[in-house]
Amino acid sequence: MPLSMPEEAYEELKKAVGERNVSIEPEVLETYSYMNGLAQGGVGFHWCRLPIGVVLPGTTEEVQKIVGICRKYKLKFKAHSSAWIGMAMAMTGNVIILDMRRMDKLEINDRDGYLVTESFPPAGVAQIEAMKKGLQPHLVGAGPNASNLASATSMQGTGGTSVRTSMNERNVLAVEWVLPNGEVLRLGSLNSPGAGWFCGDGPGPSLRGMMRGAVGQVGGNGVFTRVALKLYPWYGPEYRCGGEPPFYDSEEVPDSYLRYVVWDSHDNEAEALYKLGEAEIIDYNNRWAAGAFTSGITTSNQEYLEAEAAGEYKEKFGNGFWTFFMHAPSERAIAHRIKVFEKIIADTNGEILDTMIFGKRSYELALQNAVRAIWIAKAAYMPTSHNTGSMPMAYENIDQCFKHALPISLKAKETYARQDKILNEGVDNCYVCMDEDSHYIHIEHACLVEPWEPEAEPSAVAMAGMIEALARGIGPIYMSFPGSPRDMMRYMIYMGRIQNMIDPDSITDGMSAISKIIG
Amino acid sequence: MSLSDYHYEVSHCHRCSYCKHMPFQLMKSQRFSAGCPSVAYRNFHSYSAGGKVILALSILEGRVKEYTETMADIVFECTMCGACQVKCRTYNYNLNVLEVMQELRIHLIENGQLIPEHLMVIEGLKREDNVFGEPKADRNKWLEGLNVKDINNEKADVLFHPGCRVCYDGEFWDNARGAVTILQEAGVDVGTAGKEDSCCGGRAYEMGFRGELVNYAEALASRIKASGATKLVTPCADCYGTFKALFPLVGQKLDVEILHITEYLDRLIKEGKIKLENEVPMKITYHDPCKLGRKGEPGILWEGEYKRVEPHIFAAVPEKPIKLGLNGCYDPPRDVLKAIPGVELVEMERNRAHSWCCGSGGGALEAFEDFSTWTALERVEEAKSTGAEAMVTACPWCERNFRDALEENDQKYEVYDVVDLVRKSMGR
Repeated sequence: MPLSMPEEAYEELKKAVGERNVSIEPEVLETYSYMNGLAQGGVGFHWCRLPIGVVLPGTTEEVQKIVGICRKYKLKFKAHSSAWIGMAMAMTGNVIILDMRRMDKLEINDRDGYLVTESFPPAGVAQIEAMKKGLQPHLVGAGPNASNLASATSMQGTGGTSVRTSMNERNVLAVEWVLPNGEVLRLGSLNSPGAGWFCGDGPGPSLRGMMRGAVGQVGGNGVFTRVALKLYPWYGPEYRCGGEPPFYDSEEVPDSYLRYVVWDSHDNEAEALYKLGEAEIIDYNNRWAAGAFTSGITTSNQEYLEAEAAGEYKEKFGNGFWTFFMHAPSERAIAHRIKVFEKIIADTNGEILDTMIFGKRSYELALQNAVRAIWIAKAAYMPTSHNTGSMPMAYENIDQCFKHALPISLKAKETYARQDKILNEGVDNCYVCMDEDSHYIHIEHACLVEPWEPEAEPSAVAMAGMIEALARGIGPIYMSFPGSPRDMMRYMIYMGRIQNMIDPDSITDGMSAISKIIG
Repeated sequence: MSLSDYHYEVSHCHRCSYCKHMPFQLMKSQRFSAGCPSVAYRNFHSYSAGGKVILALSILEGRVKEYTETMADIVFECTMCGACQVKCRTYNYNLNVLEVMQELRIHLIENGQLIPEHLMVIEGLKREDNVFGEPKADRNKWLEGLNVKDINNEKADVLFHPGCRVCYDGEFWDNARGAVTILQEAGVDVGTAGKEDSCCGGRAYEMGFRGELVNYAEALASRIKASGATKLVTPCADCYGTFKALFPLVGQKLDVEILHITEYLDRLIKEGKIKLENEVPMKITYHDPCKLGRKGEPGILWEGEYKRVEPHIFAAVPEKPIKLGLNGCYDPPRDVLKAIPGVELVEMERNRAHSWCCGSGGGALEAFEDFSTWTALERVEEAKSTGAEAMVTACPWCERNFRDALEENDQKYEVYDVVDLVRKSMGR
């Protein structure tokens, strides 16, 4: 296998996409080898493998040509959209990165309630176009900057709106997919010319499971170039905001209800979630704790420290707090939902708090998160700019998450925070959201670390959580798909077989190497 | 400060790409959702603010050992418009991308990686004290026939600084002369620096030449001191931003009130000293020049370092000023336009601190003409999308770039300066 771009391959790539859309310049490649995001803090360094080239395809046909060239010269490839986590970078040698920025077409079909997006358009961009037509897409928890296509086809697709808009993988109506062999596979009704995009799986067996498994293959299955996604109602008007940074001034959303809620125990918190899910009244939900709130509401590290010292956020939100948003088509409908909501919170000993509790900033954080999922880039990263997850990271039923995943990660965090190996932000900084009005939630634990800190051991806390989870017979990542180490192995074998079928020559540079080997 | 002083900052990029987009709070359409001209034009991540931050980290950590033309292209094919700074700083208070990009430019120059077109500008500047290399003797041609004080001979309350673009581009002479006359008729005691007038040094600084800015800042400070002026007024947004934001960064705070001409006109209109009586029936949109708006935010020299103040908390000590484009000059030009009878002002989607650049800044116009033109035409498209029949700006550099881009591409669209419309309303 070559260790750099063969000259002939470079020439062919230039022919395929145009000279200005290919680079093998070391300075350009360098900027595609830096990683931050949830993965970075865990491993404790910024740099990953240098790709041997970066290509900017503009059409599906160009993607096919790139894949063909990779096959011809035995080069690996991986596509990314926003590239907001290390997994988007090259994992092995001889990798060409397909930066999908030029594939930015977006189409909203309001009559049938779906959108068709190419690889790049960020979810937040799709949302503003959909809102103009009284609709809205799913917004992944990563934020509005993340591609809708990526979370639907290649990565985990849950977020604060999932309670209403489902996990994005379940919104997929049709897909255009350049396989590792260079052929284009169209799933759903795309396989029937003129039939439109809006059939879930089309005639014949569903291929969605093979396409992504539980959480997607993160670039390991070829390149997804277009996807049709289900849209959900937005009762309007379009979200409008003005004012000045950093917090801006949002216009009020009519017929809506936005509140913070805290509970006195995890048992009551869990009980309320079951009831809220069954009531089917929530449009956005998000649990965080004092750490993330302090990160979001402050504007400098000094201010963060002052807020920490004052202690009022910790006092109120130290054991976690929820943001709930409801939006309805009429005054009567929202009034009904509010009644149901208030009863459930009262029945579970919860406390409803006005989002202005800590002033205008706390209101803007709540509303902008609820409607636009905006503040993850700050709340999950400040004040250290680095966040390692603390395991287990779970998608499971409410009891499983609150009785197993959360206690394990809390214990691990407490131990390492006490030794200053991670930031002591009040230990509980657990992110949770409900999915699909169901009894299932997604849970992951923010764990901030400063890489310049001499005592930092970012990977230790993740390892501790993982070991404890395995000792208890549960999976350290995405508890639902492994279930147990034995089941996890079976899952990996199954997915590995699928991967070997889709990519028999191992030409993609996905995250599925282990499962492929096992398979 | 030098690039190495930014090691902490450049190792704290979230890689979130918010620097590339309009703020998601304010975004109104996919068409105008881009925030950074450089990455929107080139598409490779390298050209975004985040990409340049990674490049800086790579240099500081010794991964990239040679200074190459490609590196210079990545760093300099950028208008330094500062839109990225506003977006990034909203979410990340460990990083100031615009400062990093500026230091990266200076670092490249110090290491011999020069952009030839920029070098020509600097040579001309050193020789003739203007960015075009035109004869210094011609600098005051625009003034011929006007009766304006020369501060070298007599005191004046207001020092009028025209800027290189106005002095050497005949298309702007009527406008500048008109501005001076309006001020005089409003009872303002105006003077110019006469033969001592020179460049502000701002464009040289953004090309990576810090020394030129220091020299011109010192010279202007001396002139102001000698003149006894209490106000420094300029019709050029580029100069305004240099005086307000850049001079303090090289330790030169002018002991005078710095006003853009639109600020001063706004004040005089509100004081009733200027009457706008004639109807100017036009639907217009206003383009915020970067260096009048977000980069007109007053600069503060910060001299400190990032220190470990608690386990896992490093902080800028003393606290670093937050640069979010606040307190730029946004309302005065709009208020002037609104005061003109018959004018209907409509806003573009990207406005105020989030205005899309005209493409002429940061040395892009001089060295990356295609990029500069593309950036200007993007803005024209946005202006047209509002239904406005004309775009009005407050900077001769913006106006020149828009007009040239339109002409080169056989497009027609009216572009004015705020002063043009004031003059129309005053029957000039």
